[in-house]
Amino acid sequence: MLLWAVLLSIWSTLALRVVRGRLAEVVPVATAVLFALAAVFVGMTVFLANPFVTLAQVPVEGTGLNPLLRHASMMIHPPALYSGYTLFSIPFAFAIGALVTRRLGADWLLATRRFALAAWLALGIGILLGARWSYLELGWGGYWAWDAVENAALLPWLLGTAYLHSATIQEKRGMLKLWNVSLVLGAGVLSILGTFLVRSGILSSIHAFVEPGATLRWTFVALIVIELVASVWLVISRREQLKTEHRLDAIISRESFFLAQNLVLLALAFVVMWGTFFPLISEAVTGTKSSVGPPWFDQYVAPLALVLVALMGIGPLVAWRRSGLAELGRSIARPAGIAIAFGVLLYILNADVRTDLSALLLFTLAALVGCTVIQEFARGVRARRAMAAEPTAKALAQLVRRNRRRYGGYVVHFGFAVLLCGIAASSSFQRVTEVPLKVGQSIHTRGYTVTYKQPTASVNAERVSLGAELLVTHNGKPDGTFDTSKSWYPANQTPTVGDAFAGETETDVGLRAGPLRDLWAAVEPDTSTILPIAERLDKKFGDLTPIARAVGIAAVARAYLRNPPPATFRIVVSPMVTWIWAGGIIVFFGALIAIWPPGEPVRRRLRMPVGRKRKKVGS
Amino acid sequence: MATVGRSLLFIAFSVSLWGLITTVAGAVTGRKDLADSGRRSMPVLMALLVGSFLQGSRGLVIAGGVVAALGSASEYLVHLGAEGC
Repeated sequence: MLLWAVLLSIWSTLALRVVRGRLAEVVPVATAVLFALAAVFVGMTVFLANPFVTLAQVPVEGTGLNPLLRHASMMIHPPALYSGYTLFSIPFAFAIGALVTRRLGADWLLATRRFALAAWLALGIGILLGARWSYLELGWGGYWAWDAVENAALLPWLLGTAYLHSATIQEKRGMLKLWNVSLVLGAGVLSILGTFLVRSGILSSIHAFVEPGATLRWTFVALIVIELVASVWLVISRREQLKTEHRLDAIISRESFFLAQNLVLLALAFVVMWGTFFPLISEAVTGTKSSVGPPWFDQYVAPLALVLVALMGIGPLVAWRRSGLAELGRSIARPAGIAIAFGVLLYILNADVRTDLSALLLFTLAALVGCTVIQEFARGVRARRAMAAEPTAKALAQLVRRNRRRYGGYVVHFGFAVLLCGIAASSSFQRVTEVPLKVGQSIHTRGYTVTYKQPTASVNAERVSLGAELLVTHNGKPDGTFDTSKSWYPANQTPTVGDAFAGETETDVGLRAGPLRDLWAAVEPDTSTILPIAERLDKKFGDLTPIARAVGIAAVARAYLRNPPPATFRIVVSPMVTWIWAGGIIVFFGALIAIWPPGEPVRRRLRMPVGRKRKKVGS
Repeated sequence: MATVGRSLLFIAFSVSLWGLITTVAGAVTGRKDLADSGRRSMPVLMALLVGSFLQGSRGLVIAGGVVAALGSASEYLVHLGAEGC
């Protein structure tokens, strides 16, 4: 919570500096909202959850970070998520300010647009790094498990995505005022809800690292209720001023596609919210807590994602205000033709794809998105080359520089298409094998032969690791070796050998990542033969000196190496997981282009065509 | 150092309450000086919280304090300058 307050204060300071001299009536109210949020969070750290609590007995080396969190992604994941949550407080505060002062034009929206985009980007980075951590650290072979806290971060992100699109309509046409203000307020409330879920532990989650007191929980609940009630009341009481300035001119228009995309995103948010809070809902209604798993989420999210990708592919080709079917047909003909041809080729050439038509449809639609983006860039470059006679590279750079939001957005779309292909392939065609192997035994899966070559063990002051060296061949050709291990951390820092195997565990997965598929392996060593040795040592010698304990642990590890029992291996072959991370990086760069402040407008001296005289002013 | 961090948090809490009260008062009464006073406390709050967050290092606490002082001083000078204009 201290981190939350620190980040909120940093973004608030930045926001108030950026809007200085503007929005004279809105800013004081927005500042008050930001201070109120800061007061609640700082108050919680002062009175309810002191971050500077000291242990009664100070261990010599400290307790250290939870082993599961010792991963490079974890240096960025929490600050990125909390930055996202706190950055959403900026548009939230300004929306409240605009509602209170009834200044409901597009000014507040323009002033905070970059903060909304930054919030969306930070949340996206946090979510993706969390997924990567899950893939590499948790030892189950997946990256997304519809965990309550993961979902909590996804909710404001979905609303933020909807808002970033619909805000453009308000800027350009003065439409969707009520919708936009509701999305911003919703994202703000969901950000607090996300923080609450991380801290409260009311829903079972991998993120339940702390147990908060009841007072802290109720403080959060009170804050969420106050935000929600105030938001709803303000929106209802200002509904007259929030009326749209223009109506939709035509069904086939950019506005209506944005609106449809917004509705799909909202439906996705509703599905995620329902599934996340289902344990609480079922407990309230039936008295028993039951939860829904990934298959439940997948059955609703997959079709909605398909519609979303289709809208992403067609939307940029539709003109603002009014577009005809013939005009749309002309714009879409080439990208749609290429995408359909790609889909047909994929169907013919890939046997896996023939078994899952929804994946095939997603690949085809993703191809449509890619082709649309390329066509839009090509059109822009052609126009610039014709207008300013610039070489292609310069024309492309100028095109992006002059309309960063639009072309940054296209890059984001492209990145998403790549990312969604990775998700579709890895979730539809993943092959998981879990099997016990003795040393020298092999397993065959999807062209790979993985052989348990030899056991490994390492002991240091912090942990004991038992693992395996695996020999890999791919389609009969040697493909090197790779290691996987499981580590145990001491439970109570007691001077016994058994304590070394009683604490937290951590899996170091073996990973052979590639552009087409990942080979992933995790080992579960059988400790049933070595734990009795540790017990015997503890019974015989009792409390040990640190050196004697280390010798005892090393003896146990040696016993494992001398006579290794069969170990259980989880071998996962996942196609195109790398595309998820690559897509994320493309999205990141696209968002950076969109968020980058525009430079000073370039003023060019226009030359009069030869033979035309300058007109006098007033003539 | 825990005491220093906690003390900074107490001060930060007071500053956030001060900022809240002055900005609300400024918004209700329409007095720009009150609203500006509240707004100027935000960098101070930031410096205090950053100082508290980084309290493991005494040097960083001092640096945070210096930034807070400079931040509020510069804001005040800008304010005076604006009034003078």
